[in-house]
Amino acid sequence: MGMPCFLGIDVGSVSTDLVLMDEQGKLLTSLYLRTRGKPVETLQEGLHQLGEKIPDATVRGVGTTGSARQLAGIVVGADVVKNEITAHATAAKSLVPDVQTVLEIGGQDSKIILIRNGVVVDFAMNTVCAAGTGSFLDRQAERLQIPISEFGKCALRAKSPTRIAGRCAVFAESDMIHKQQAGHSIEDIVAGLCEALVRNYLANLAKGKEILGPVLFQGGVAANAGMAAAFRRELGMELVIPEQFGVMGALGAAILAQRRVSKGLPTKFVGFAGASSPCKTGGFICAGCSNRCEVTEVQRDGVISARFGDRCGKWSTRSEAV
Amino acid sequence: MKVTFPHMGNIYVTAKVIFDRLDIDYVMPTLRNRDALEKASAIAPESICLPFKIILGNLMEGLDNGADTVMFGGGHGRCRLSYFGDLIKETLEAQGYSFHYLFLDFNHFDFKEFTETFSPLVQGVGKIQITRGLLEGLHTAFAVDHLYSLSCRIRCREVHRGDTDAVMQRFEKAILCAQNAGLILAEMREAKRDLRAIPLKKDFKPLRVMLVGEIFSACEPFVNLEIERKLGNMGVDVYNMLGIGSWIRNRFLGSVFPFIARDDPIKAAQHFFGTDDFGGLGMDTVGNSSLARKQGMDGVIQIYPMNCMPEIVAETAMPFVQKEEKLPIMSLVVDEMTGEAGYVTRLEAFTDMLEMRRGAKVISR
Repeated sequence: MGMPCFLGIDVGSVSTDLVLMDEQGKLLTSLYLRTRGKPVETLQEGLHQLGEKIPDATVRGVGTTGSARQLAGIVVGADVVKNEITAHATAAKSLVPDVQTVLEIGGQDSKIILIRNGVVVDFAMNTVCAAGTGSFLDRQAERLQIPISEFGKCALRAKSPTRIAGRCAVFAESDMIHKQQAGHSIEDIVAGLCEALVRNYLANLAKGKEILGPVLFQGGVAANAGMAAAFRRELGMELVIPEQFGVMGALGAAILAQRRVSKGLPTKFVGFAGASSPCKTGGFICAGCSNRCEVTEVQRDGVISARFGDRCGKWSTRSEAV
Repeated sequence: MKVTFPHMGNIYVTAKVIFDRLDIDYVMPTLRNRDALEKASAIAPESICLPFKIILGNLMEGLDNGADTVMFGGGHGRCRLSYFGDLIKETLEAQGYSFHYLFLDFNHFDFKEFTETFSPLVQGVGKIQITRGLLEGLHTAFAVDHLYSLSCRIRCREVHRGDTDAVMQRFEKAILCAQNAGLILAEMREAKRDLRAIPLKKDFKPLRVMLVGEIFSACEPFVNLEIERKLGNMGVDVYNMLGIGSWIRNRFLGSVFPFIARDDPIKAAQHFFGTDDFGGLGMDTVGNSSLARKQGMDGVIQIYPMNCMPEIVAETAMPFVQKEEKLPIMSLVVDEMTGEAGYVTRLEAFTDMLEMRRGAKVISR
């Protein structure tokens, strides 16, 4: 019998994060991988690495979150499949019990979560705009040929940040190019971008919401010192950036898994080896009616293990029988 | 004359009953047709709302399949400053369609105008038959709305997930196949009986969420990505404030007999806006949200299509309603690009939050 622990998995658009947490809620190890458009392969690779890192781990429960939570849940046999908001709030509360505001910016979406007396009382997620999220910053870093890890530090060196229109990713980019052609320094442009994105975030998500401290800043973008500095300036408040800022979603999923199995349920985890058996995913458009649902299919060892995405249940219920 | 008409939620059930009773020949566009939407998006003004594109798609499909008359109505909710109907007509005509356009303007409902518009459809049909057909149609509109709201009550409480969906799916299929009004009415009674027979969890108190916003998005599962079903299967009881029934009562009959209309939402909304109308059903959205807590709701979801002016105005009042009523309100904006994953994430997170709030007794019930 190895060390009992809980596995949390967050498969997002940009990164795939895995954490192993012990029974006392202590983080044993964590992994931060790039999803690179291949969620299943990345997840299997991550599980393989975790299994090698801590060979004596006995997984008692698994939770998945992130935009590929359903798919990941099928691949590993998850006990809990939870949305990102609940997972992030859970992790934030476990690290800073009196947290009142969580700012989270990930690869494809950004969120604000308000917590009062340990209860999530309000939240907002960016609706129809991707400006200010990790993938946009990624793309700009790539265009300016600055490594993403240096991008934030570059902003800190700015002397007088330029004003960038941060309302929309497309306009922000053309505005940045305009400023660059007008002769502004890269540092000033990058710092201006950070400020624009923070303004946009606060105007879009935090509108009418009372931001009280402690404020936690988490998600992949929390690594960006420029963004953190811009938030501090704009809010006039100190930010707490947890050490595990990049894997908070996964940590939350692990905590939720622990809560679920604490009710005495055995885990559905298929094991590190089981999860690595070849999985093939594919999709088709059902021609059964004018709805034309996109059905996703997961095959394991040549057998269909799950189908989802249909509205009528014609495919998803059938796969349960398999 | 062969009529076609656009879909909005379950309005087709009523339309089938009336057309059958009045011997009107009609072409019904396919429900939830993605191809038609794509065709319409190609010719509609680019940034116009999703309901416009769906309605346009429906009408094009109807006309392509042999209809020569378009039936459409509007009013009271002043969409596109009352130009919605005309814009539909002009967009179709610009594509080379020629058709009779029967437009019912509810803003200044006039019995004489009503009969003049629709009399060509019912030539040779007796007055008694017309009256009976319209009354049966009215009954259907209310009954089918009632059936759908009953399904929300049952779905969240069912012991075995999927029982309610199975009944409603069978019902929808049967309505599409039903050849006459009598069969439709019988199907409705049967579906109601079937719903009542579903075993329910005892002593289960589901979360109660009120659905407000723009009527087309709230009624049409194709637009709201089946929000009633999704929330219901998460164990949430959904109270959809928008339906054909309530619209007929408050707006249509209400314009003739003002005492039937329920105007408490309008009065409640006047606390936030010093007006009685700013277009669409915006005042109802604000008013219903501010009355929700008193009606035992745990939260409110506002849903509207992107670029819907009245609902954007209504949304500006939501932070104040939320503060005053201490009730969470979430706004969802939909268009044909809406990603289902992000949508579901919001619904799940909202449900989790309501559950947590209830557990912590943030809401005094």
